[in-house]
Amino acid sequence: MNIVEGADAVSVRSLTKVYKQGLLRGRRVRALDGVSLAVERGQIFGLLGPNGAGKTTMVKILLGICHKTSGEAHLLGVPAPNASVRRFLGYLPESHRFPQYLTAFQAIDHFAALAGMGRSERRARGRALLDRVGILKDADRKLRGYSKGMLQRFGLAQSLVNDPLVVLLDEPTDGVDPIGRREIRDMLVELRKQGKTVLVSSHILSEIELVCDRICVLDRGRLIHEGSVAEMTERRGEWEVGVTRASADLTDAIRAKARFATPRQDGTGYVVGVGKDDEIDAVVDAIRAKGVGIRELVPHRSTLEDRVIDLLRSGGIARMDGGPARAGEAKP
Amino acid sequence: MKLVALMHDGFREAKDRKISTVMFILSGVFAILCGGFGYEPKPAVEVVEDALRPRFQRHFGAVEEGTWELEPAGERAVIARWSEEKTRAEKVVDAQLNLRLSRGITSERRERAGTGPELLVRVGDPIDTAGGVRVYFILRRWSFDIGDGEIPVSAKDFVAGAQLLLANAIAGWIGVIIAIIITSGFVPSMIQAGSIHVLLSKPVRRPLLLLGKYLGGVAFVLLHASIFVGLCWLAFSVRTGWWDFRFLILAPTIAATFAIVYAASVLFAVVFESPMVSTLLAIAFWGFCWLMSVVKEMVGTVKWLPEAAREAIVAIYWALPKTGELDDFAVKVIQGSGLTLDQSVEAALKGREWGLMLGSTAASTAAILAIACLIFWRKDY
Repeated sequence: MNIVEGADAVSVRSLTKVYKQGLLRGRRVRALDGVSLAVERGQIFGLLGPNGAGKTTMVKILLGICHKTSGEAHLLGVPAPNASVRRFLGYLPESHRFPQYLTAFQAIDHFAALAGMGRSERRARGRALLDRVGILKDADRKLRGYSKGMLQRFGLAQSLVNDPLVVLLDEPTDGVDPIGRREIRDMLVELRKQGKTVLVSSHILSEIELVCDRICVLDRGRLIHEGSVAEMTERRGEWEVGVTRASADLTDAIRAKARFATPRQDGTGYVVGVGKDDEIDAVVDAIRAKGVGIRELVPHRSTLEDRVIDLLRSGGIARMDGGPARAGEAKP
Repeated sequence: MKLVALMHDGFREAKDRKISTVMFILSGVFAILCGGFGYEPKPAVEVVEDALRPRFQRHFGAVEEGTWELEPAGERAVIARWSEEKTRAEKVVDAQLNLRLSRGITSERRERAGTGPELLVRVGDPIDTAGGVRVYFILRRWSFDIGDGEIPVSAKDFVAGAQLLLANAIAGWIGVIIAIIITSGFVPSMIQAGSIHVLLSKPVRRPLLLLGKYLGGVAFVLLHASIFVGLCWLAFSVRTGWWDFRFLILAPTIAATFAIVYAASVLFAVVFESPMVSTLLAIAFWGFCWLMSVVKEMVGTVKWLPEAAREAIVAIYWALPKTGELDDFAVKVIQGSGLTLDQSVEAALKGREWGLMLGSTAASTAAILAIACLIFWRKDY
């Protein structure tokens, strides 16, 4: 089956998965509850949420590792699961277990063979990828001798062995040292430049913030937010104001013009909250009137981590921009 | 190519677990044991005396000295003489010895002037002649006469007996059980979380993954069964000079028996995801199949059994793979002493519905695999 040109990389609509558990499979656990989502091609998309939110279940349904209860899931425009369309996919699971009895060369050759690649192509591609992830010099060693970080690098290499259009990565930097994390982030950016779509699921939100274009947040099987990283981290009506000299007098002057003004701990400025963005002009005038110089004036941003935690603590009731949650709502 | 890759992976997994090494060593040990037997031709005089003595003992209780005398007449012939007075002995010679002493020994009555009647006894090739060899193990001083007593044994008889022991017990039962145990981890390790997730993300259909593992296991056992049987056969053949190819039928029949039991093991592995449980249940299944063969044979003789129960037993028998019959087939082929391979196979096939048996066995095995594939196909990982 051929992929549909121009179709979203990933598209799910009202996707629901109910696991039947227990001795008689009588206990039902709703892992996904009517999730709708679309990921455009050429993006790095972050899949966020606490443990048990349904992130891995969604990826597994897309890959055919588990079966949906209801709803629709499409990969590159083709209904999932579909073995043929997996030629265009790469996947790194979170708790991977690669064949310990194989060397990295043998293992990547094996996975390439399963992807239907010819022998010469497999060898060249395998060597290049192992070199790219920095384990070429250890490629003749059996995987059982690899550290967690090396296995993670190998996992990334095997996920790219078939030159996929869509790469699904579950905790790709798990167990990797800081230099390795940086290298992996660089690889993700490189993949985006090549036009690939990367779907990343991670708990390390600082990394997601650094590389992702868009994110979605799942909680207890429901989609509670979807949007761009910039949109999520921006705090409307809050500004960072850097000044040449902070003082109690100046603080009072700013507070007279703003909703609030919180001095920075290092005394270099304030976080100022205003009702409307143009009200910041009055704050600037007040500072200048005191004869104090302005060094910077930028919109105040939160970290992604703060925002996601806020969102989850609020039970996903409110959107980042203060609007209602869009759980179950398809991306336009 | 994907199927080959999956089968190859099974081989590498087995190699890594040192299973191949252990199997090679076991095959080598058995080949050395088989090759450790030596077959030293007995002198013709001893062979004839061994053949005559039990007969005389049976007729006269004890054999008196001078009842007969044996004189070598060439390398493989003996002249037996007895005195005219021993008429009773002569009668025995006339009645039995003159016709046929034992397999591989022929005799010819002659009258010679002055010395009375005599028997020219010719002893054939020691490999064929019953009681024609002294079998020893490794060293000649550990020799033993298998042929002592009523049933003299030739080198061929001894080898056939040893081969039957290998076929029935060593390879047919213990070998298959060992093979089931060592391959039982293949499928559960494949469907472990993390491992199966990577495999299922590749463009391979689920049934192919399972069949690849299954066929890899069967090919692995076929290879090692061939090595085991081939080495044992080679050892016997080199030592005796008797190149009988019938024993080689054991390798495919072992692999076929394994393929049946392993299909059940794969099914149980998919359901329970445990090597231990799948091994035990597969062996229990094998035992049940064997039991049903026995019960089906007995069912005709039990008069009080209701017709419905009789039909149910027969139906279950035909629904199950017939592993017992496969063993029986191999044993009959190997037992066909004095026949060619083709003749042995023909004799073994005679009198049974082999086509139906093999067909229903193949169909049952395929059905077990199909159920395993279906469960694997529908399961969430």
